This record gives sequence, C-alpha cells and structure tokens, in this order.
Amino acid sequence: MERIDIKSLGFNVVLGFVLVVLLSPIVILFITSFLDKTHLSWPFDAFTVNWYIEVFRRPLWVRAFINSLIVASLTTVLTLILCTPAAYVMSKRRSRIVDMIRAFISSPIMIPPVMIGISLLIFLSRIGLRNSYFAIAFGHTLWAGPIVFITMTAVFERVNPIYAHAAQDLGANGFQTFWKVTLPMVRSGLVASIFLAFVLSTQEFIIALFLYVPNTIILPVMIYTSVRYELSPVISAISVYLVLIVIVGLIVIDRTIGIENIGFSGKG
Amino acid sequence: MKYLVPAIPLVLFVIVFFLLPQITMVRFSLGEGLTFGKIKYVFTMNNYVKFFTDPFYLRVLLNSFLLGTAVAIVTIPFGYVVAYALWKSKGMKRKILYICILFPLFTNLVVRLYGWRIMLSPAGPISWFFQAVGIADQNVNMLFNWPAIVLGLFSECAPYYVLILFSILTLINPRYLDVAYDLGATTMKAFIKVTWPLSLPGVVAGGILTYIWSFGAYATPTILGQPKHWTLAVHAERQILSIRDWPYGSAMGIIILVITLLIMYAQSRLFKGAQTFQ
Repeated sequence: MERIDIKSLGFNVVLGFVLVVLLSPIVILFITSFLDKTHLSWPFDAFTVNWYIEVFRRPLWVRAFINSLIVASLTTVLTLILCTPAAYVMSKRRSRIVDMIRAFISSPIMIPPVMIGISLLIFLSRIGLRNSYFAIAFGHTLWAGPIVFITMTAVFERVNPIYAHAAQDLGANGFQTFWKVTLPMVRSGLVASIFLAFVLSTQEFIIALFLYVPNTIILPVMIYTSVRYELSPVISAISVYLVLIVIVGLIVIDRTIGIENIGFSGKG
Repeated sequence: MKYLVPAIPLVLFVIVFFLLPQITMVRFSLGEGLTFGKIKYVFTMNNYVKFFTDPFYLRVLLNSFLLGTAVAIVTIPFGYVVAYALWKSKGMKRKILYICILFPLFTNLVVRLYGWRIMLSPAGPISWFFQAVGIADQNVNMLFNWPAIVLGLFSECAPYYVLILFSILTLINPRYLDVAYDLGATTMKAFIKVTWPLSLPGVVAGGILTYIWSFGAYATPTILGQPKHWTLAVHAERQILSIRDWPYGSAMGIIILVITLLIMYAQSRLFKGAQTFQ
C-alpha cells in the first residue's frame, strides 16, 4: 500500500516541485538582473552589475521608490497607532463582542483586494482625498492592519498578566500599566510589527493601482505598467531591490518574535 | 464594555475606510452613468439588469467561476502536501519550510508575476530547456493561456492556503494518531480516517480563500493573460478607470462582493459543527 510518509520519495518529489513553483519566479529575477543585454534572452554568458546602478540614473524610478518609502512609513505609523491599543485590550478577555470585533477588523483581508481598491477610489474621490499619499496609505492600512492586529494580539497574550496585576496593586491606572509595564515587555513584538507593516505596504500593489495619481505612483505600480510592455534586466534589478526589503523584514521579524508567529492564522 | 475604549480608533477606521466605501459603492451602482464620468443620482436597477442580460459579461462571470474552481482544484492537494510536511517537520527543517512559504507570500505580487513572465516567455529558461533536451525545436511561448494564469494564481494563493491548513493541523491531538497506530492502522489508513477528516475545516477555509481570491483576481489575468482571459474584477476596473462609467463598474464590484459574501456564508453554515468541535 502507498504510504503517506514524509520520508517517502513520492511525497518529497511533490513537495520539492511545489517549492520550486513557489520560489522559481523570485530566483529568476536575481539571475536575470545580472544579464548584460538590454533585452531578455536565454541562455546568457555575459554578466554585469550595471543595472543596479543604472536604476538610480532614472529619475522616475527613483521618485517611485521614494514614494513607496513614504507610503510605507505612513502605513506603518497609522497601523501601529490603531492596532497596538486595540490588540492590547482585546488580548486580555474573550467574549462574544470581542470575537465579533475581531472578525469585523479582519474582514478587509477576506475579500478580494480589488474591492478595497475600487470602493476606496470612489469614496476618496468624493471626499477629495485622492491626491495625497494618505489615499494609498489608508488602503494599505486596511490590508496591513488586520495582520498586524492578529500578530500583536498573540504577542500580548504571551505576556504574563501577573506583572500588570502587580502594577495595579501598586496603584497604577490602566494607561500607566500599559505604558510602563506591558509595552516595554513587548518591545520585540513592536519591532516585528513595525517591519511587518512596512513590508506589507511596500509589497502591496492592487489597492495602490486604484489609488495612485502621477505624483504618488509607487514602485510596484510602476513595475506593473512597465512589465506589460517589456522584459528587461533593469526591471529585474528594481524587483530585486523590492525583494531585498522582504528579506530584511523577514530576518528582523524572525529575530524578534519568530516568523512562525506572524498572524495569518485566525482564519485568514 | 468600558475596557474596549482603546479599540475604538481601529474599529472607527475600518468603518470609515472599509464599510462606508462599500456602502458608497452600492449607492453608486444604483445611479446612472453619464459621459465623462458624470453620475446621475437616481435609484435604478438598470446597471444590474444590463449586466445580467449581456451575454459577454455572463461569459466573463462564468470564466471567473471556472478560474476559481480550477485554482482551488490545483491548490488543495498540492498545498496539502506542503502543509502536511510543515506539520510533521521539526527544528531546522520546519524553519526552512516556513521561509519557503513566507518569502513568496510577502514578496510583491507584480514582482512574482514578472518572474513568471520571464520563466514562461519564448526567450525564457523553460523554453530553452525544452529545446536543449529536444522536446521542442523552436522557442515555445507558454504565456497568455489559462494554464499560465492558473499557475500564477496557484503560486499566489498556495502560501495562504498552506498557513491556514497548517494552523488547523496543529490543533489535531497527536494522541488520536497514536491510538490509530496502536490499533494497527497503516500510515495511509491513519491519514484517511483521522488526519484528513480533522483537517477538513482547514482545507475548506483555505480552499474558499483560494477560490474567492482567484475569482476576484486582477493582476494575474492582466499580466499572464490576454483580454479574453480577463476576470470580472478586471472588467470592473476597466469600467471605472478607462471607460469611466462609474455606476456600471460599481455594480460589477457589488456583484463580486455579494458572490464573495455568499460563498463565505455557505462555508460558515456548512462548517458550523466542525468549528465548535475545535
């Protein structure tokens, strides 16, 4: 009888195949970014690192890169300010209303991101907020918020409540307990959340596609508009810069709270 | 209730920038689109009637459903293998598997799709490989067809599916499996009788997310496909950003949203028992 065993050959072949499918589109970017031709062709023998420098000579790309950093910073600040206190109070108790609020907060990541893009575009055009960086930052906060919220809740849940009780016994009020006792204890969780929100924002593009205006175009949208017309090593090099942000983010998150603890569970 | 006050800003934010825009979209969809993106604020179901009587858009709707189904069919078994391996692994191996899942999950979708563009293009490595081993005698273009789009969506959805399924697998009490083995079950039999039924809520939750996202896919069909492969989401975007018929585009958006909610509602009804079991 065929066995499902993690040591069996068949199982490992399928596993390896799936992992190759997941990773090969990223690996190919690294390889092609060193290609010494203006257009892509395979195989190649001439290598260069010029494209990594060439990128900085193109003002439109530099502008888009800076915009990406601005939007990601706004998203990070907004996400942390909104999610930290909410995760703190909701990690302490479980009740019907808390579960309902959790489900409501997580709802933006359950629907196709296109819907957030379309509806926010309509809404922000009406209230006249579309031409600012905040348009994309608000959309990204809806995307990063639930994930950071779930992660932060798990971080707070692991704090031993005995310290908070001790602080309250010594006369601290709710805010003092949070600010002076609990928050310093979750410093690593906060660092992880900052990187998590930042990475999520720099890597999101569908929402941004709807909400950008020429002045606020961010890097992924710029790549999207170029990719449809050409395959070139320059775009590969730019993509590698974006991928490097992910790598740095994942390393920091792993060193602080461990990548296993990023909050995608909780069903979504 | 007073202790929930610090959560108010976040809840308000989601109400103002998520719920309210959806309501605005409902209102828009009931209006009438005039030229140059102007809107007449009336109450009419015309946009919906127009949509459901247009054979072209019904075809697009059907394609979106079929695409969601195809991606779910591919993702469920292949993703299961990865989730199972993650569940059974320990220490360094688990860490490496985690990285292999989270790294593509976090990496920008456009960047990954651009990678697929290179992989599948006639000038790309796969085409070169086919020629080198003699399967093909000229450049092969594997882009702009349904399999390419399913492949792209699989690599987009699989990491999420794996993590959701894995979170359910970790809830399985290992003693159940010990008991099965003690009673003489083979690995395969223990899997079919114990692991699979207990992991079913994860398969469904992850499968539904895969289905919903593929149904509402935007980037993959536009980068790896041609206009004939466009999903409803792409056409909704075209109506709004290119044709500037905002009410019609909004109506299409609402149709996507309602279908999404119906699927999620069906799932919650179907698995009510299973979830309380956890």
